[in-house]
Amino acid sequence: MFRWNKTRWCWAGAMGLGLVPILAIFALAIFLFWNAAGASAQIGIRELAATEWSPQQGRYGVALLLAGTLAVSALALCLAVPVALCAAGYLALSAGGKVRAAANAAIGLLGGIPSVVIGLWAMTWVVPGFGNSWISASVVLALMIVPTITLLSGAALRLVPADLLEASRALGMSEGIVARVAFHHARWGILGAVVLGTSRALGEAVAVSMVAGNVASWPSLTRPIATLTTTLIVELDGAAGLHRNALYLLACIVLLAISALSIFGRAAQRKAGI
Amino acid sequence: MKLLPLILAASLIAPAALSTNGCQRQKTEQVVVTGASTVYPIVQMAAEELRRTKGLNVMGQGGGSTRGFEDCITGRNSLGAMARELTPEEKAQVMVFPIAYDGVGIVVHTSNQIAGVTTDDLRRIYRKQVTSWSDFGGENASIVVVHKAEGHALREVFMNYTGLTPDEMTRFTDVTAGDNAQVIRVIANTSNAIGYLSLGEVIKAAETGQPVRLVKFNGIEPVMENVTNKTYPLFHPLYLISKGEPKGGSRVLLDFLRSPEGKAIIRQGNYVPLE
Repeated sequence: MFRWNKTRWCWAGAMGLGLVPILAIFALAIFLFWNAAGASAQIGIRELAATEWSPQQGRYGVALLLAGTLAVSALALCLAVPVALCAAGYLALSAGGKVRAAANAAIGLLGGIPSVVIGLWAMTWVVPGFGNSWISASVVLALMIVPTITLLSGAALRLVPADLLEASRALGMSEGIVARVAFHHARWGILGAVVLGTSRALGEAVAVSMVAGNVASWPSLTRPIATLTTTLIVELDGAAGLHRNALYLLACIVLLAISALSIFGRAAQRKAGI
Repeated sequence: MKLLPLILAASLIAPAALSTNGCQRQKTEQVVVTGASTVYPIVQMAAEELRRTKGLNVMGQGGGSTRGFEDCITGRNSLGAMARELTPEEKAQVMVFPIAYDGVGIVVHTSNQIAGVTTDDLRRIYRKQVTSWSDFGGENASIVVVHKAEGHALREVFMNYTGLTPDEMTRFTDVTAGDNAQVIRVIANTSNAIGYLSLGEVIKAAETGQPVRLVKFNGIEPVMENVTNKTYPLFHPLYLISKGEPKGGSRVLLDFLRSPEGKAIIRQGNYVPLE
């Protein structure tokens, strides 16, 4: 017979608490979708696909904001991926234990810096050089995703069997070829790392909004740019009615994109066995 | 392990206890003011004074003028705060109480040497017909135009005063700032930037050492005295609105803001009380 004893109570409680985050994410998603659905019904798909975002005039075209998000993230990846992969390759394949530990700690620390701090730093160091522009936004974003990509792809590279690398070296291959063997073996894990870095890039708002200029326009390296998240952050405070719901729609788009990327990134990592 | 059920029970009961507590507080009169962040400092200062002298609990929240109006209509606040003129449709639905007005200053970096601008200069700058400070006797550097984001009262005040079209407001922008603090931050870090902001906000920021300064506008010194005697041309009214005749704590707050002590507090915040 089923009896509620102490252990069962504890398990039931733990399960209840475990459900809290799941319920929270559902509540969030339902709230966003509900508001966003209202907004898209009122605005209409054709108007949403337009390029002009000007809530004062009742224009809610998200095309340029989407283009801005993609442009800023893409350039940030171009800047971050080479740096992160070189760092990860060096740390995993050739650095000594002490160097690796110190570097990993430093990179982890960089990843933990609040984005508003990075934004403040960038306003005084990056913006005077590049202006409030696409390139400034991407530099800041690159700085924020390098740690994610370095640490995750480093983890993938360290899973490469040592005997595989030793065998390559025993065959007299140069260190360059050995690195290629390692990267090839770890490719799924590295792909996962890059994808997860991208999803962080898509969602970042505060630091980017401080340097991007936040003006919806066609991406041009030295001109201001607006992304989905920067628009959210600068306009939410003053938005009401349809404008507010349209901003929830932007949040919804970001949430969907990040969820899709996270699922894909985790799948790639699982394939790599991380 | 013995503690765990206790903790679980507490975590279940605590939110419920807190929420009932909140309800009770509502009953003992809490005045909630939401809306324009420009009005927030006034409400905040008045709240401190009223808590001390009358034990009245006033809570202020930002969110913009339009939110102030919508919260008022739906009954989510006791009073709405607005920093822009109400539209005729809005006016028909609420009672409007002007409490103060606020000068709008033209802000540049302290290193910028220009003496001042006129309304026409502003039009040309914000339409990108003039793009270098050298046209105003400054350095040969391109002007960085800063706007407030859509939905903010100051943006509308600026647009109506200069006569720029909404399209021009979005097309010729270099930086869109979300809140007042961001306007200050951008200009403090960009020596060629120009923006508009509450006079009081700029005075406060300059006092705390931020490298920003106000420039003469249409030849008038941007000082509180000139806003008070209305020689300074660019200002906007600040309102509190109420759905019906304000009662209880709302009434107390409104009366206080119109009393001599209330006016002194408004002046202290670099706003101009209504005489």
